[in-house]
Amino acid sequence: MSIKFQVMLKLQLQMMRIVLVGGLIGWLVLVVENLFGGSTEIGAWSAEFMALYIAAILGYFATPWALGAAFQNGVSRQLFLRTAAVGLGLCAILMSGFVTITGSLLASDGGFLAAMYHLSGAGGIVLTAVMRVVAYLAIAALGVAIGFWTLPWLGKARFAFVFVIYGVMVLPGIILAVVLQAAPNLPARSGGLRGWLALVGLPWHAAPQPWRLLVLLLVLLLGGGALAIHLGRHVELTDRI
Amino acid sequence: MTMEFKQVTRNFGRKQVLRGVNMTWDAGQLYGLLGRNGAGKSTLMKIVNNRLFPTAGKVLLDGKSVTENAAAQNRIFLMSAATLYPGDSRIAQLFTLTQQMYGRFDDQLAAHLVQAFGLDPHQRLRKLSTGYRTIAKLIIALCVPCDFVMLDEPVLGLDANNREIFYQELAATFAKRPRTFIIASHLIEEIENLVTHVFVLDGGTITLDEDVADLAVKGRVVTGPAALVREWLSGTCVLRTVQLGGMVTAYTLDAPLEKPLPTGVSVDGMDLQQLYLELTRTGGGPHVD
Repeated sequence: MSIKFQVMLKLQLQMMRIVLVGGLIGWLVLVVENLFGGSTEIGAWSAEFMALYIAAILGYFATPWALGAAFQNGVSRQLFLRTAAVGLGLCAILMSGFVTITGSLLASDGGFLAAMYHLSGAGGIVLTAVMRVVAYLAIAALGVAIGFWTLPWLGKARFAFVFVIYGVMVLPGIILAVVLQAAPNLPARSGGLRGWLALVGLPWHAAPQPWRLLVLLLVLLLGGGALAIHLGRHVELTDRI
Repeated sequence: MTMEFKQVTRNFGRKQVLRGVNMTWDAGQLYGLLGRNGAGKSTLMKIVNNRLFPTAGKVLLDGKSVTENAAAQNRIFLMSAATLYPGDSRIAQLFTLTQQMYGRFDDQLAAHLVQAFGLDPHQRLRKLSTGYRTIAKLIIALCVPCDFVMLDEPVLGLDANNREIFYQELAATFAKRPRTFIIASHLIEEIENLVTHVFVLDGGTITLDEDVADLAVKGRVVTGPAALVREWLSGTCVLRTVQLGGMVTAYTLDAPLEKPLPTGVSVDGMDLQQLYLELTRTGGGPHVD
């Protein structure tokens, strides 16, 4: 590992840290709230969505932020993309570990994902953690691709786009959380709600099918990664970085 | 050791900012890159530093393309108006960062420059004023081990005293360790005694590529009665004439000094600032197809 690689990776992590700290504060609020108010699945669910959102922001904002420092120091796009991939990988592992640990604090059944897929025991925890890593990386890769693609846009337009992502990713989850809190037995009776659950990445049926989701996430990761690399090879420095 | 530009073209949508730029930068030279706002100076430098890709053409360093060439980019440095370093970094940390990225850094010179400019190396970059941010970037640019150092508007936000210090220090470090500096600046009168060769970028192409010493000999302002001046300059390339009553002032690069000067006609030298104004008076700005 060359010194240039190490230094660039450090710069990438410096940018990613800013986003991670924001997410960490959100998670801690959830944990503290649940410690005092009793653990709930809704809190664990929110933690899952928050992590996905943080992953998207890591890709969309934090990665292009580091471009300026890269070009200022004569770092090639190839090296930049390699360090971005390693940085996002480290963040995904960190976030997965954090959500897996706090998941058991938030909900006695090991967190929302584990409960939905009936994953229990050591194997279940590992599979849940792996699924989270792959999911965060896939979302982050798509975030990087969209981040590079939207770089020539006006700063305000790029910022507004985040809220669109937020809306698409998080709002359905929040609405579901509210609906389920009000009527916990509704999914069993409503086909529409089950479809909605599937839309936010949950199984169509009650039967556990984690491998199918893992494969889907891997396909998303490979596709998003390939798109990010393609766009990253042609990315240019705009005045908005 | 040369940097060659071959038909470098760059479009931004329908705007053609660079239109087949050809020029060569040699080792150990102090170049001035002049051009009006929007002429494409920054775009050209960004292409060299790989911040932008050319639409067509290429830039070669010792015969090899600089595009995505890590070894070539390690020998090129661009100090631009935009601050691209992490704002939270302290100045001393930026020196270390540059040393790690480029392999070497002239710590001794950096310490000297920090003192000369009165910059606090423990200060965070984002807390500095515009002028001191420029100074921090200038110090890094003068201390990197690169063979080609491009300075895009290097004195932006600097007061007269700090500009003076910069020009002196640039000349001193160049004398001690010659490498190629390319200075893009609007303050022509300040750099004309510093640079050895000038390029004028106008309308997306290089319209002047001359040694300053040659320009001092070539650039002439001819004044006198209109008829006599026109007759004396007939067959030469006149950049511009200004008529006031029966008198005319003509700006030219090829005054026929071998011809006898008519009585009442005077010939004076033209400084770089005046010459630049005459060359770019009708141009400037990007070409739109």
